[in-house]
Amino acid sequence: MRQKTPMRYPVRCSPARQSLPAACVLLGVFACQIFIAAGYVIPFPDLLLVSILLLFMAGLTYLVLYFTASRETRISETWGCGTKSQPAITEYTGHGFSEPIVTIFASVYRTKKSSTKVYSDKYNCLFAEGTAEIRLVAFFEEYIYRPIGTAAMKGASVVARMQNGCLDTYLLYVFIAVIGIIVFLGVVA
Amino acid sequence: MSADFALYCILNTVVVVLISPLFVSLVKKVKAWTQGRQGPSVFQTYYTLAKLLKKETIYSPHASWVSRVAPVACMAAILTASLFVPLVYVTEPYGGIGNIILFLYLLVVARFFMALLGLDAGSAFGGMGSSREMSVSAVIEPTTIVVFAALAFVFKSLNIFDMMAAAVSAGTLKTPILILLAISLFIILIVETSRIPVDNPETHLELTMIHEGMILEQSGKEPSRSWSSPRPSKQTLLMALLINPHRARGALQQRCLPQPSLPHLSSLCSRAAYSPLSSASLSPRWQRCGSSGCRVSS
Repeated sequence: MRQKTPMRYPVRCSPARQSLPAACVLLGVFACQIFIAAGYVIPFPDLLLVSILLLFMAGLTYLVLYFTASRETRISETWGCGTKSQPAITEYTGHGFSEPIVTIFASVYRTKKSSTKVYSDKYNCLFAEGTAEIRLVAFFEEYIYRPIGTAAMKGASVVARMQNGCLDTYLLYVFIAVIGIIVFLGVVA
Repeated sequence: MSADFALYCILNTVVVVLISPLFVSLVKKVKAWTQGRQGPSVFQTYYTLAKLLKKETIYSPHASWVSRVAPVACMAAILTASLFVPLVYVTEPYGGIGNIILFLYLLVVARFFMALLGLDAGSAFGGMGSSREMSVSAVIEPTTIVVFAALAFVFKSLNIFDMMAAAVSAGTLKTPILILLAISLFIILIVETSRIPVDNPETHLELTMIHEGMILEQSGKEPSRSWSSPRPSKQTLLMALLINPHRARGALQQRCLPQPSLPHLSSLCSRAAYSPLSSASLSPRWQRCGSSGCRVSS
């Protein structure tokens, strides 16, 4: 196996972006202590002990392996089914993670897949270019926002019909309201 | 932290690490018997682990620090989770230890690092394994949450220690609901430990492997591949969770319960040898709260 030095890719992350996950971790670990310091006693587990145990177990695992196992390491090419090296294009993308979920829950998401292929030979064997599209139903929009919006629009149209700008109609409303109040008071009395 | 709890932490971790490979071998042995073969020795996994520890570790040229850190982080998460499931004896829970939600989170942390590990080597197969593992997780995790929530509802506690103490003191199966929960937990156990029909730990065929795809690039001493890797340890923990709250006390009902303190360590060890997966003894707290079925030793 030929020796290779590992390729290093620069990771650029601003301090503000780094501080956010650090704050998440620290606030989670010291959550119990923070609430107690603020004067609130909330019955949730003390994560500080678990965090310390987590670090201890990590250190213990490392030390046990360091002293009991072989320390030899070697850099060797990733197995790629016969290809010489693994280009970045062979790596799984975010879509590779979401696609199985979309397929499994297709009945919920009502997935629609469509693709077009253009071949570069007359036998339609060599793929030249193409497009692929996955459409999902907007779950919250379709099942929550849209029914509420439709109901609001129907209610608004009823109110708009009542508020027609005609004085006679308003007098009729007042008349009906007065009759209703009289009947109500009569029944209650 | 009391000395009793510290002793519990040491004993429980050692027991999980030592017996987990044995259960892997036992599963292989039973599988061989069902296929009409003799199968490997029950100590074969120990021999394999000893061999792997002597081998060099090979990293991919594409691998970053994640490949060095993730196996240790994964193992640490599982070992910490092992403290949440009493295997030797039940003691007084301390801090957040024993919380069932935290237990699930630790298992998820381990799985997260395993998925990162699969991606880090730059192999398409590792990514494929990670993707499949996450997909299976997305399907099984709601079931896991519902089952654990039901366990918490049945035992009226979110703490696994309380559940196991209640199961021991109840004497019989607490409620028939536990039978249904045991069936669900068994399915979860199969999925979480990558067993047939969800996954096959023996396969290395690209089309079929899930968990093996993630650790395909792991070699030598890496914990994900070698010494008491997270999967056997997780299997032990889930088996304990399946067996302990769901079994009737049976023979244990008639046994005396020793004090889990340092002078009685030898008694605890012998009890652990008798039933390594059972919560065989109770702390004074549980003895006070126990039902009339409990008899406390002098």
